[in-house]
Amino acid sequence: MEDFEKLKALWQQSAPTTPKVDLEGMKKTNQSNQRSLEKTQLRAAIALFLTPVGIQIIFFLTHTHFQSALTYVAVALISVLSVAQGVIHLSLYRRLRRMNVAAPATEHLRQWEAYYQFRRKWVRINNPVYTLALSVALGLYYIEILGLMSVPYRIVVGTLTAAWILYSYFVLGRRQLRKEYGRLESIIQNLKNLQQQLDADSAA
Amino acid sequence: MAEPILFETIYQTYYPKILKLCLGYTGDYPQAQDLTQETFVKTWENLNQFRGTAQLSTWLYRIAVNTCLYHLRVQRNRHTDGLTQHHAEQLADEKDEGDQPVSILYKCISQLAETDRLIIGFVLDEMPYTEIAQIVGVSEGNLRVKIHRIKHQLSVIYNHYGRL
Repeated sequence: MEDFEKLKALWQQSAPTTPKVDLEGMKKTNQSNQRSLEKTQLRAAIALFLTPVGIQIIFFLTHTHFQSALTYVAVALISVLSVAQGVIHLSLYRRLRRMNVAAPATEHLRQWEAYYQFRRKWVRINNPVYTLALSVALGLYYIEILGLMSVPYRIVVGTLTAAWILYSYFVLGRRQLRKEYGRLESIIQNLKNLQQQLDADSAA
Repeated sequence: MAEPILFETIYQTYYPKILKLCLGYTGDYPQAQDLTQETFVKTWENLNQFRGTAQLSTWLYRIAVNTCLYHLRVQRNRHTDGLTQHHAEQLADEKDEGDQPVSILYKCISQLAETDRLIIGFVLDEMPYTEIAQIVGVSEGNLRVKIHRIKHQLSVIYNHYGRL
């Protein structure tokens, strides 16, 4: 162990300098997996909260008046759905932020596994319900709007909207989820491997 | 103590220790700096969660350990040689000293298994075994077995470089 004492002396004589505290700079360069997951949820929540605000601004600027009460109901439904979905993303963000960053490795692994299971379960129910409800709301909105258009325009607008919803759900949404699950699985797998390392000598 | 002042004190006291721990973990100066920064960002963001049930150092090192442990392996293993050299150059610039053996020590530590790198960092800093066991989350008995094995492994790796 004499060798090790030399290494200890070597380690202790090295004293890296402490740079000035720059929290904002640190936050900007912080690119951890957890932060990416948090940012994704926060950005989604903000975008969804801003959707009804955007709708209101457009209506205000264009002095829009609808003939049918159903169209107002549809607009209200789109706004409510956006806010509700925003609340869900915000709660996911808060759940990630509440994770105990100082928990021992085993508990840390449990926290991530619980979040991953919850997220998968939630996505299975939430995503189809949200997409379906939004499609219904848009359908109601289009009853009046498309009625004002010629048949070829109706077909073009209807087709483009349907295509966009399908593309968002089956391509963009799934791509985003794959990325998110990938990050979560990477964290969990990493922690599992490390847990195995920690347990390795216990049998000795 | 107000949070900003407490944070400043923690930062000044523990930055070099956490950086060394991360250097041993990554063997790579820029990555170690990133991990150290991430540790302190989390510390700042969670300072209100520290309830004094654990020692402040234990709490802080747990954050550092968790930050290191779930950092992407792919990123950890990148450019190790070149950046260890970068660290040696950086230290030489800062202190005008021949610190090459230190960077080799960091490099040797970074060749150990991930959890072993962290454990040996604490041992080299002469942290009590009870505290290391609490930080890493293993029993003290298990920790002693590990430390004995890691010390031997590290000495072998370092000797391989012909430095002792």
